[in-house]
Amino acid sequence: MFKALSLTVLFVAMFVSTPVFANEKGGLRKGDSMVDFGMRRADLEKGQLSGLVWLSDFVGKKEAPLKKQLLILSFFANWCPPCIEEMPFLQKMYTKYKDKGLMILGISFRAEGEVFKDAFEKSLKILKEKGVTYPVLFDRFTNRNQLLYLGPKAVLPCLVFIDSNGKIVEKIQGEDSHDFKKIEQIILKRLGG
Amino acid sequence: MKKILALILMLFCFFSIFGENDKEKKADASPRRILVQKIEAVDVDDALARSLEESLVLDIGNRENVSVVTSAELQNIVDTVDLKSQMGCDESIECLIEVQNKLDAEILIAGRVTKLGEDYIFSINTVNIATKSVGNRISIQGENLNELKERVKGAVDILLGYAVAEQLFQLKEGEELSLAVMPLSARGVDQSVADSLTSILSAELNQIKGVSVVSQDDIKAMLSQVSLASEMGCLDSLECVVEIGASLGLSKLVTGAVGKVTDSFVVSVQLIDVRKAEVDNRVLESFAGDERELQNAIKLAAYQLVGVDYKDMKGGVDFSFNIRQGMVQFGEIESPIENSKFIKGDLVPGRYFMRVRADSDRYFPLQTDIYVAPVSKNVKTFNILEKPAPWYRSWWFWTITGVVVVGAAGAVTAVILTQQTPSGTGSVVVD
Repeated sequence: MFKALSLTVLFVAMFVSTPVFANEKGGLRKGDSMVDFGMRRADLEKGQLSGLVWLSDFVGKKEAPLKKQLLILSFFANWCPPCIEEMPFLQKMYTKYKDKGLMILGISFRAEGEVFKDAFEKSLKILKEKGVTYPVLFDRFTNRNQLLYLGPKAVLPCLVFIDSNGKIVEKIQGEDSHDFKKIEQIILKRLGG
Repeated sequence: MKKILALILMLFCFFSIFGENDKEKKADASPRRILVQKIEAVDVDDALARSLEESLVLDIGNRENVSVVTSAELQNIVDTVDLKSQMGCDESIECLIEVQNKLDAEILIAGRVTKLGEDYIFSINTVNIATKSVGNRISIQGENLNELKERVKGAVDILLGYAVAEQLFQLKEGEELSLAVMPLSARGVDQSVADSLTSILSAELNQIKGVSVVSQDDIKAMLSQVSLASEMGCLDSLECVVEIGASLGLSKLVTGAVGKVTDSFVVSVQLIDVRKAEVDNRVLESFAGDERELQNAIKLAAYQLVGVDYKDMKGGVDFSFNIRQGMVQFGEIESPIENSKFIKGDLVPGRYFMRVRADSDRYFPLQTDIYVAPVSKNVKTFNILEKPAPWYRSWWFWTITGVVVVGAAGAVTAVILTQQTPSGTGSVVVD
């Protein structure tokens, strides 16, 4: 009993007194600054990768934004049914609010051992079927940035809301990301609609 | 008894968790805990790396208000705790405190030692454990272990912030550049040579005011995952490098290669604008000479790459020879060797062609390219090769000749002696 207690205490002390571990456990959180990166966008028409798209192309710019903007990062995987289910809703939001400053970036997550070419082709098929027109980004090499935002457990689906200043204002992960009413409320609140 | 111990343990835990602010307040009083990682030996004797690690630990440990722990000691503690745990150590909080104290290091020091030509290169960097960010990095060179050890102290001063590295170079006023250095490719040279040059390039760029070099750890981690891509030549393709840089969130990248073709070395580096996916600047340095000159070649390439004006920062040379007399042609300068030395200062940094001529009957001429780096002295010892003596001057020729002559003389004498009628001889007839 005592052995178990002391070991627990040691681990708790180690993890809690080292904030970086605590922070990494669930990836970037509400209130954190975004970590900028660039990934190649999928050209759905041509069925190939095209130019780089950076998060800072939309938010977190040095100069003050002309109008309120909101960037939603939608992390998805082609083998994640809830992620696929929410795509039409996100597309609807994108169409409805893009002129008011909403940008959605779909970000593909690849399972360990999943060959990029296969994952890309499967994803393209799904995106076409769901009528997605917002930019969808792919990383051919790693899931580095995905894990940075999702955390090591990589719970999908995951929506990360980033404001004009590059601050993460909301993060919805797992089952909550199907609360479409809540999502639209966040969009309206942030875009001042 | 157990209840008391449990209470102490809980209190320890409480202070570990909630005592952060107090710890911050006492930060000035409490010693800085530094963890020295095992120094990596790349293509050099492991004993040399251990000896440098020992110097590093001793130097840090002798400083005031600093406590140092090596990764080996840490492992030892963990093993001991494990052993004690089996023996019931967990009923005492001492070993737990010990581990916690050791783990509570602020700074990690990592390093590697490798060889470039005849010189050893010792690259060291600090990592802030809380933020996982690379702090200072420095690269020291020396011809032997003693030279490296002598330079460890100065390096530690800079690494731990006791001294500030002099930033002799700077970008144009107001300019700032944040970049990452990708590992240089090796073509015709060992990968360890390319890795050493990557470290020097990284450290040299980091010393330029206005330039900040991003941690190589992220790049290494990334590249370990894209090893397949690099095997496919991905690192040679701009598109691929740009994609890696973008994934790391970098706006500028330095890539390049070091190669050898017959006796010439070639160093090429590029500064890539990741967002524009184009090459901002490209520098090529090539020379025919000693491998050690790569160190200076890469330094000059670094300054040119980011547009630092170094021409007014003169350097010099200090060469020793195995001959007492001779003539040295060094670029436009022609000067005799005096007391086996050739020393020149106030030289514009760059590449120079050097020719050394001594007694042409005895020595081969020496021709090589030499780099003069800004505000530094290129110190070297040259061995001018002696020509083999002509056969008619060799000892064996004269030995054989001597033997032949003596032999011939002996033979002639013998023949003469045998053919001569001895005096007082003849026939006597008696009637």
